[in-house]
Amino acid sequence: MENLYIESTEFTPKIHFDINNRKFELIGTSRPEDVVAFYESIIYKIEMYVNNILHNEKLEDFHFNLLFDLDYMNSASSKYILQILDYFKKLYQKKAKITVDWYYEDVDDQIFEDGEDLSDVIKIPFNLRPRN
Amino acid sequence: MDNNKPILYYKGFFNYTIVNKLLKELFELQQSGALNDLMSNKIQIVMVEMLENNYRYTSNKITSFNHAEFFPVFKILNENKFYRLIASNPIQHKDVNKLKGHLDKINDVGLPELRKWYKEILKNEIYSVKQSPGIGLIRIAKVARNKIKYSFQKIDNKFLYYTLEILINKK
Repeated sequence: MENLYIESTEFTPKIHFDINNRKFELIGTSRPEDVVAFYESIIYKIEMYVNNILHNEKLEDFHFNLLFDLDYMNSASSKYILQILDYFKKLYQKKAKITVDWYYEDVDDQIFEDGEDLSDVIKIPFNLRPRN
Repeated sequence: MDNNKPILYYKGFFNYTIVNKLLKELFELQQSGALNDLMSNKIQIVMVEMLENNYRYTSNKITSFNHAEFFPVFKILNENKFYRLIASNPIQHKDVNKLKGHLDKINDVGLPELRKWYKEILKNEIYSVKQSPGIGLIRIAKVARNKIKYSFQKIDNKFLYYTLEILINKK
């Protein structure tokens, strides 16, 4: 399976699904005009990847890092970010080491609260990290 | 500063491109120092949710509308202790009851319950066929930490003029 790289635009985030280094990054602003079209191919690739790992890897030794560094996301995007996390949750529930780094600017920032809320919904702890 | 002149104003039907244009104007206000980053971030979230709510009730649903005085309007007023965001648009009578019930329910609960409700909907809607999870109005109240004021003014037998108003405290 090949890596996936999508450059950011003014209203869509940069996506880097780095399979070799076991890292997924979503960075920038998420307000796509067609949120389904933007996220469906990304989620499809993640689904294929997770299913492959579930069947072929020893999950106790498997690690993967998800990094979210968002300036803004609309409510439609939060649903698709949860879908991404939900696929990795399948690995997390089978003892794989899944880390989620969620960056924010300020504790009063809504992105901080969004991180807390999404972590609570998906039941995976997030590392809430202030941006330097 | 109390100033009746809106810092951001648009009249006309909204779409994705218009919302982007307004967002760019908001970024310009932020870059000019008229808004700090934190305030700009909150206004951005509330504004986008208000406008997306606005065009959800107009795009594809209103094909002919000749009452220019009731065209959609969005404005942000800079007042002493808060920013006042107001969005108005025509809405069909048949959409009113469900919307009013939803707004009343949002205004009836406090922040902890609102946040809990928001998360419950997100959880239940992860794989729903709907494009958006339907949390926009809840997110407005959750981010603004204020109740949503709303009104419906009769235009004719088919349409009402729906206005949403929300305050974002400066501190």
